[in-house]
Amino acid sequence: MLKDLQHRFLAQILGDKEQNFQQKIVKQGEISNDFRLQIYSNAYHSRLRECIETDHEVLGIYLGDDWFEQMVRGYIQKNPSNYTSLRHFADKLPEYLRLNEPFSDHPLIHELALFERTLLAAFDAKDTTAANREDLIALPPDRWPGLIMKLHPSARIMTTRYNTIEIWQALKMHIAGQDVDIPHAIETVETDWLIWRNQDRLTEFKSLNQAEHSLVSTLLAEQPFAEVCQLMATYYPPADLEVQILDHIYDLLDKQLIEFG
Amino acid sequence: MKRKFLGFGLGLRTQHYEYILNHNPEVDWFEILSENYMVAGGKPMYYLDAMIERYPLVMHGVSMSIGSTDKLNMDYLKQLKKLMKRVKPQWISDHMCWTSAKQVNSHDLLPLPYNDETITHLVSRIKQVQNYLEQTILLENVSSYLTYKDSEMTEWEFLNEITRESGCSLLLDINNIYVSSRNHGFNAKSFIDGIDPNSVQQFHLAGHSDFGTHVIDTHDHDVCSDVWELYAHALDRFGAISTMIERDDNIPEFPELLAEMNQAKAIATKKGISFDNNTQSQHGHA
Ligand SMILES: [Fe+2]
Repeated sequence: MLKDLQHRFLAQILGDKEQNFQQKIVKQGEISNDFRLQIYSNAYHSRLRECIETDHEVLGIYLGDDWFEQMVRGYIQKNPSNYTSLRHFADKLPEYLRLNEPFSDHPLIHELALFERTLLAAFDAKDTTAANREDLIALPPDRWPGLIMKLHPSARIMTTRYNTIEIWQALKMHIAGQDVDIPHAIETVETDWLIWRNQDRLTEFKSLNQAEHSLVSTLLAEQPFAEVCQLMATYYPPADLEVQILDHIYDLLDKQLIEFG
Repeated sequence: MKRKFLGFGLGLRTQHYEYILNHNPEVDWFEILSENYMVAGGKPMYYLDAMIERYPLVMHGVSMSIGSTDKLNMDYLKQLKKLMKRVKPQWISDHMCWTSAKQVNSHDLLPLPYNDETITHLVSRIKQVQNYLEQTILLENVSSYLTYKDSEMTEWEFLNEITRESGCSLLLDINNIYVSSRNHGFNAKSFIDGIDPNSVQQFHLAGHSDFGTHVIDTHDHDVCSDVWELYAHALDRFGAISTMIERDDNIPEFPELLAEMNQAKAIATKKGISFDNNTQSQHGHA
């Protein structure tokens, strides 16, 4: 009985009008049973809309009210929450935008949503104790080749094919009340970005050149330092190699992005 | 039954982290939202640790879904227990409701029918949870917008049965009593007078949106005069009960919430209830 009542009520809240749940309710006061049920389905939809709006402030502005509403309705319909926390409710939003029209016709929308979710993931990723330059120098040389330098758990790579980050930055300035022109969407060369959380617990990002991208990917894969050096040898002449590698590693150490495994 | 009186508190909201750390406001305790700290690290955990050092905390959750006919969510309870180890809260609470069915989460506090079937179901689940968490829990009465035909008793009779049989305590939300009384046409004071005085461990106070024909529990306004009056009535019946203000939307600057908390304190002081922060002693006349 209780089970049936809960299944029918939740189905009604999610939008299944066949449930006739009105019949399960006592008629009271001046408002109808339909209206009472509507209070619950409105609360359901507005809570989830608000969650998406908070997580994806920039995307919301980029889409404009109509498309945002259409996305929210479509996403809620397709992805009822299985999470205990709303923190993860919109995790599948970038994928939804990649696969569903009209959003899928504009790949930049997917990239924008993915960028915002990657920032969110970096924001509350695990804390670790970072190593610094002195820690590295203090290591006996025979330990270097086998050394595994783990990247901070907040660090992740994202690749863009459009001027997504430029648009994101302009929209952020617009939100902050600055007078900026929002660039038009254009296809660009593939760009790799490193996204991480800094010492002040704020998220940051920077573009990576090919050597940096290889380096970061190798570290993310938890490969030993000898592997890293071998890979870097494909980017730099032997005379420069050591200095270049140390430059890159120092840069990551200074950003407190490395932990010795 | 001897219950701990923590004094007068506020709900911890992210907007106020910096203010609280910089000003150390005179708040006896804070209530944190458990789900906000079920993340791995970063700012939420940094501020949580800072609060743990400075104030007594209680943990308040929304996802236990204690009344659901789905299996108990052990993943959630595991996370909750882990967080309890870190926070060492004065106590933990959730709601006398269900939030999910067939593993779909409504993210809402949905009402239960008040009858024997529900009581049996709830009592066994509360006992399981209390066993697992190795402590008794508090459950809060929710605002509701409908009455099931399946209900066979009043909400307060229902709550009394649950607390008596399961050993859990009540987090009595005074505003929720008011909201439900308006939506179902019962007397809010009868609710308070009907509750077992030994079962209450904490009060919530909050604001709502009044639409005339019905009232919605929005937590986006100040506490209204009718709810203050009910609070005074509840103090008469229950004595010194840890009280806090909940604000979840349209959140004002911290001093404004502090002023509202002090309003609760002033009402209690008039009733001879005070909390001495230095000696942790408590005085009540109930
Ligand atoms: Fe409450």
